[in-house]
Amino acid sequence: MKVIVAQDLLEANDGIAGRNRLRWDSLGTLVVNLISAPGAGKTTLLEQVLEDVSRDLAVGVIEGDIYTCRDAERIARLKVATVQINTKGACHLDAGMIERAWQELELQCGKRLDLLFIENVGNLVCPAEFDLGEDIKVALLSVSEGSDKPAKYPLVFHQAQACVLTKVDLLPYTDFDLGAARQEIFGLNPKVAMFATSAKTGEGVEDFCRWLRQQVQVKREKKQDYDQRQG
Amino acid sequence: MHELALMENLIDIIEQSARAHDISRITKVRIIVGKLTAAMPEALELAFQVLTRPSTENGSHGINWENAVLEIEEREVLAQCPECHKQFKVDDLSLMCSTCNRPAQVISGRELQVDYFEGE
Ligand SMILES: [Zn+2]
Repeated sequence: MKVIVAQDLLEANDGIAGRNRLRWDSLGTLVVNLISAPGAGKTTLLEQVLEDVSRDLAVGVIEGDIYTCRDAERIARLKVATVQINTKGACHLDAGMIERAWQELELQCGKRLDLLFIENVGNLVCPAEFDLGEDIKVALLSVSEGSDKPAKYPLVFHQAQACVLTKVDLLPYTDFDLGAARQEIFGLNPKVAMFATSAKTGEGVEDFCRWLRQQVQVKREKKQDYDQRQG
Repeated sequence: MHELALMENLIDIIEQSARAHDISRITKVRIIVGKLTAAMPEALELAFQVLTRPSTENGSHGINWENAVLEIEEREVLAQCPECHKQFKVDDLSLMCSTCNRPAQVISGRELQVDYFEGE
């Protein structure tokens, strides 16, 4: 007997992601999912961004990590509400993990957040497949990884709303081809916002923060429109 | 290796449907995998083998997966230009329409889907 199923393998995940999205839309919280390979400097960038945006925005962080909580400890030092997820070996975060972590984070911080960062586990490939209900995926690529990454792992670069090149202070010492990488990323994703940053010199971080603030504002206006229509 | 998670979902979806159709033995499963996904066919196949191996706890809910075959149909990445509506295959990783130089929409290649299964 043959049974036609025609069902998405990620249907269960996508259902929960939709629920997360509705919740954050009703609160007007902008949610940013940071995705990169291990060692691309995600936590370092996040620390610098948090220092900037937490001056005037209510910010929270969900930290995904395969086994440790070192990154969460680094972030918690910045006095930002942080919840840690240990994936116990899994190479990605899924929407269910985020739903549970969010409940915990809400209890912990007790106020409406303007901005929630999700630091995905260090993996450029698998996390791209799982919708968490976020507004924005940010793909990070460090120049020490080589400029062939977009061609090798196109999905994350295709889906990202922003791409952050990190460690650009190392450009003179690597064979990273900045022009070729940009061209490839824009080819896959013509509308992506691109930032070249260095945690060492601080280059580009401010631009990225300014862009994030604009997105927070857009989300806020969307919520106001929504409230008026309800109201 | 999120392919393992994907194949766990596959087994859940099929076992649910099999029970609804009074099927107790799965012989074949066909899935559709687009080339603009992060799933590798070889890794999907390996995960399927691991999860349907007899004597593991998986697939032991009254459904027999022994000798079940996984068939994977890969889908090319296709895009369509919003301007001239031309459809083209994306094999150079560029979504720009070569005629209008405008970004095109991906219309195929993102599939990750169970097509059908066979059993008795
Ligand atoms: Zn065209």
